[in-house]
Amino acid sequence: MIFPFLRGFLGPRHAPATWALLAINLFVFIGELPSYERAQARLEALLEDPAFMGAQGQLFAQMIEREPQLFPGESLGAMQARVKKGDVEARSLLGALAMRNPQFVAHAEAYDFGGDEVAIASWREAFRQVRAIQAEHPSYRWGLSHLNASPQNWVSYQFAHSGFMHLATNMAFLLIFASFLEARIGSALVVLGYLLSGLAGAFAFTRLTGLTASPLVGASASVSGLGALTGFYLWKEKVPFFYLIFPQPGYMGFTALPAWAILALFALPDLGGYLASVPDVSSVAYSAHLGGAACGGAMALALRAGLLASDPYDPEQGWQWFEG
Amino acid sequence: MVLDDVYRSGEEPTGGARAGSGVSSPAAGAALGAGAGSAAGADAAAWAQRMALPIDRLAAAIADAVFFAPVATLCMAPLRRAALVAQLTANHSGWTLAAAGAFAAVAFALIAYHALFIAWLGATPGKRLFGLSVVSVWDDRKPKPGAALVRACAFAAEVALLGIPWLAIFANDRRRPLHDRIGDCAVVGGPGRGRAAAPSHFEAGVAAGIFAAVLATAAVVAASAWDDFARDLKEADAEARELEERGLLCQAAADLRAEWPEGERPSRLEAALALAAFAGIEPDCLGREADHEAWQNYDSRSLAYAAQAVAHRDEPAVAEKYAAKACARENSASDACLLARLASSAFDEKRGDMSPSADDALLSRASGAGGPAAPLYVRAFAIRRRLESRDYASALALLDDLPPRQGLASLAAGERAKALWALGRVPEARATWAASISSASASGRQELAGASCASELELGCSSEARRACGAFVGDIKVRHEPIADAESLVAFVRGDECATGLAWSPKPARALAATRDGRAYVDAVTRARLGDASGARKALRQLLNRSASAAGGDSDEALGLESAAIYFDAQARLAQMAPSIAEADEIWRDWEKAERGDAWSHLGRALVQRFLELGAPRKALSAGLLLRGSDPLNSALAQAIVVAAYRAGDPKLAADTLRSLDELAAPSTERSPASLADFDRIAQDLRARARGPGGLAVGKAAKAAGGGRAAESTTGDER
Repeated sequence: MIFPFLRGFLGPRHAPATWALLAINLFVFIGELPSYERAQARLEALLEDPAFMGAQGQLFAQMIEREPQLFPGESLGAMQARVKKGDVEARSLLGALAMRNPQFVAHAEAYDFGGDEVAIASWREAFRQVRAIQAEHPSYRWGLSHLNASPQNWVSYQFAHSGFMHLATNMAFLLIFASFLEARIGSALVVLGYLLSGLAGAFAFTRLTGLTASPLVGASASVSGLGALTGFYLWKEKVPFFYLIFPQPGYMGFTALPAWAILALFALPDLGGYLASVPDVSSVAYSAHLGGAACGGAMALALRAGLLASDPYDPEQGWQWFEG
Repeated sequence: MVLDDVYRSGEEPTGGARAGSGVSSPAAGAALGAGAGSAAGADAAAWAQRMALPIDRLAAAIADAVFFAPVATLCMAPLRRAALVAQLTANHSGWTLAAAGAFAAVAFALIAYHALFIAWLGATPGKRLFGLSVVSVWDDRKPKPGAALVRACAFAAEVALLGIPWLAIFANDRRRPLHDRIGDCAVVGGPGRGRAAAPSHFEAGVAAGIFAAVLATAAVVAASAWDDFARDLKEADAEARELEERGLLCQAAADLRAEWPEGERPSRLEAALALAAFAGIEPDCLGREADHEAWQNYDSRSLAYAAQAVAHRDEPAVAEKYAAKACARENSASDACLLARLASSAFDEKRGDMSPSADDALLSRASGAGGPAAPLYVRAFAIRRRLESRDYASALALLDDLPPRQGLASLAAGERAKALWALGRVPEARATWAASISSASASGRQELAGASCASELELGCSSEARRACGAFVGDIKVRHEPIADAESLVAFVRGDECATGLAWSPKPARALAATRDGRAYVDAVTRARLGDASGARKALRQLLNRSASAAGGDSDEALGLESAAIYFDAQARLAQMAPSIAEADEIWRDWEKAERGDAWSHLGRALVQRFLELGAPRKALSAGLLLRGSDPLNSALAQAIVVAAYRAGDPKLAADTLRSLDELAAPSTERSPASLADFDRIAQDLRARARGPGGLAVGKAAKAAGGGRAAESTTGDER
């Protein structure tokens, strides 16, 4: 295990903007936790039913066959052909993919499907319930999806998380990168970096992957933007990394590596993940991470070129709100 | 604080890493200086003085794995994508190719990572982290690029062997695994890190032991994994091809359909339904055909809905909805609706119309009363319903009307033989079995032979039974496939016992039994056969207790006993060995309450015989009459009843039973159970009495009364 440690978690006194960002994420998570758990449990109960998924796979295959112009890309067409031959495995896989496909979710309720009417009737009932749950599900309300793509969703998705581990890892790296940067380049640029990277991540996601019916959530794009900002800004400067091979002296501790190693540790796997993903099928938003990282890199270059002025936060002075 | 030191050190690498950077380091320089003026042996000693600690090398290897992981992810990415696409499009060879490509890409990247870093810096990043460096054994300098490349290739090969050869750092006297020796290199520690001495005999011995053990285990695991992998690959390919050919649906249905001349063919779903009626295809297969038809073919959906109702019979609520659909689309007299009504009794009841019951309607439709000829699947389901309700005569008539089709032949012949057998037309049943076995396919043959063996055994182990069971048992022994299901195992053991008689050996049965319970059963039977009555009874009791305690659980071990077959056969064997009437009585009380079935009848027959042997004819008689309710035409049973009734002082019942026995086409002439040894004497006596005036009157009186247990129990054969 090895990760950039930089200056560790600087406290709120040294990095107030960082802690404010963290507080917002935490409040959103805790505030929405009860409704999240409730909606998630009901959703999973519905989606686990193989009859529902099987029927949905048939319906999706039918829609793909009838409206090929709505579904470009090789994989969906190939799976539709498999379903038509009676392939049960392809059918349930297609059923699961349908849940994320924006075209299917948008048109399915009013679509004139043909086929097993008994199965269609039970599917319609279950699908209506799924949509009703999604309407009040926090991830769908805060996240950026095909059906929730208003300007405020482009911002709100950066503060919503789908589970504790998702939140915890994002927040840990937020503290490491943002608190370090705040002491280096200032609060305003950190907040700007967080928000712009999030927007750039969402933009990259819409361009490279395309919005799906399941929402994009999480501070990952923002955090990878701040990480890339650190890596590109410091570039060859040596910064502390923490490593742990065995939990005993000599095999754990700190080592100094050039800052670009941050990029190697974070951006390479994201790039690999993105290159390995198939549109309509893969689910992790690597393209959003890459978009955030590109934005962070651009900001670092602007800083180095003097287009952005760094203004390190000084705990003695605090924020100079009213100075010109 | 450590962190502050690190942080302040800023531009400079940490102490350990600094030393690893090769020639410029003071330590290496000193070693080189020492080596330059002395013989080659002293040179070698220079690196040998600074051998890296194995634990440092392990830590470095782990750190390298962490650093290498992102690189590997990136290299594999396009191939991972190709593999995913191949998987989605069910392109198996494409998947294999992409997976092999990904493997090769990672191997290439691994070689490049090690070769480049060692040729450039004299250490990989992981080694630098722990102050280690690689030196050439010739000059104590960082290795030449060629040596670095050779070393990296050997290292990649070791990784492919799960890193096992790498363990040589614990055993080799200079702590040099294969890749170090092939590249003429050694790994040395930096200043401030510990130095390793040559391993002690103990360490080397332990390491060699672990090495050998791990190697052996890995070899076994790898061999079996490879075997599995190769088989999986072969099976996946074969399966994919098969699925491709038959369009993922039931091949049997397509084959059957193809037997009709063009233009008269039933639909594929109709063929599947006909096969399903005879249990010729898996229920799952019918479900797929029905599902496919319901989704893809909008013209014939009423039948598809009926088939869905049949396929969903385990879920009555769903079946009811499908049945309603099947009957809504056409008028309620359609064949599809008829089938749907059969499949969902709930729907049939709710319809509440006064028309004949679904069963009756099905029978009249199948026998072609009024209207065009019924489709194949209607006739097939009619036959099945007739057999289920023990109306063998109608079933037989319907079976005779079935068109001769290869795909149905052995299934229909099997049902036909069973019906004939149940009607007491023993020679015809035997002829049907014999004819169909000779023309059936391998799996059909085994099923038919099994049915004929089981039926023959109902009459005891006669010469006919020995012949039938010999064929069945021989077939299984030749195929030598493990028997997991209890019913087949019991059939095999009983068939084998009868066919081989005194030469019976438990070995084949024990080798074929696939479950622990199956083997325990064979062992218990073996004891019984060897005359170890008390041991056998103990073993059988244990088996039964286990089945009783496992009945609530769902452990795998209990699966073998879920079937009634072993349970009832074990009880039957206990009954045959019961030393007293009281003990047999205990079994009888259990038996009376148990669920009826073939295995239940088997136990009943064993009880009747044992009661006769123990001199309790009244008990034998009541058990026999109970059995006769479900199996009215079994000649061995009828003989037992004659003997029991005669001995119990009910000559009227004995005479009536004897008469019904005489009416059977070919009563068995063999008296295999010892308890029936005096049947012929009793029969003679009864016939002599019947010829006398009194005897005739007795017979007439029984007929005139139209009742009496004997008359009641023989109604089945008045056809």
